[in-house]
Amino acid sequence: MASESLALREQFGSPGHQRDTSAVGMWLFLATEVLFFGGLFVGFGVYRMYYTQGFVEGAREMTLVIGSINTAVLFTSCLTMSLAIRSMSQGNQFRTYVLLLITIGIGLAFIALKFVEYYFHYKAHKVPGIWFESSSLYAGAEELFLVYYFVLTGLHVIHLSIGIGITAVMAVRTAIGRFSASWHTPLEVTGIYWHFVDIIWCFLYAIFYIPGFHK
Amino acid sequence: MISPVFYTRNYVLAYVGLLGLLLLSALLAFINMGWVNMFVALAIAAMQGAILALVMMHGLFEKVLVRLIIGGALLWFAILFTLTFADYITRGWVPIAGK
Repeated sequence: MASESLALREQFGSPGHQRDTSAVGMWLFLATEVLFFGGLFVGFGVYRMYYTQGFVEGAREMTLVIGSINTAVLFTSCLTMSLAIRSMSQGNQFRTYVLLLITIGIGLAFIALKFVEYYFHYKAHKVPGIWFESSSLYAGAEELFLVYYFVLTGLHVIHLSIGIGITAVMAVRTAIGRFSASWHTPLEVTGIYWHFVDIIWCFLYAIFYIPGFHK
Repeated sequence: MISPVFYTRNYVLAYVGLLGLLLLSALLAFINMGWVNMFVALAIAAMQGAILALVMMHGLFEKVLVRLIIGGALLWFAILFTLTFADYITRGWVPIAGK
């Protein structure tokens, strides 16, 4: 089978060894991502500690309903991605292909909803540095909150877009029979990345959408 | 089997758990607990992250090296978080002339 002969590279002793090496590579990359996003989260935390009221007022601009729907959308994509990998491990190529397409569709739906939300912020004159107006006493801090909001959610959208692109490549490779039940490591590693992007969103939801309800 | 996988029902259960935690997080946002609100939301996010990492990302099945990488990432983030906040929170505690 073509996928079998392509699978095992000469530097590895066994398919298991090769799979573990790929997984370690992805997890190492994700460790750097933890620190990449971690710095921004810590920066947000420090400013929130100093400018609590302004940050709470900034959070009032968020739409909990859209944020919650988007979170549920991402969790659904996690399920379809996991089921796609499981299907491939059972050798079901067609089901894997369909599930990957559904995952891509759900990811695109998330991005669409995110841009609808960005549009609402634009209409409300809440785009920091470009189109920002506020009568609040804490307008400066509110704008700073929105800077973090756009930077962090923007970076998340970029990561998700990359995930969608890689998943599309995996879907094509699945369709042309490059994976088998015994070897589908690239698909599995793509899944690890996809789920990590969702973990980041869980924390973005917690810091941006939840605090806006009360003073 | 080379790749670690769960049964389908485990993924579905994890998914239901994630949605349940999301609902809990959204409902708790309506209860005024002051500054505690965000910490509760972050705790729920950490639980969701754990479900994703252990079940969906197969963290439960990974070898010691991967677990070390995960632990190392969390440790380094904890150092970043702790030292930064230790600095900012304690500023002004010690009176320094001219400051």
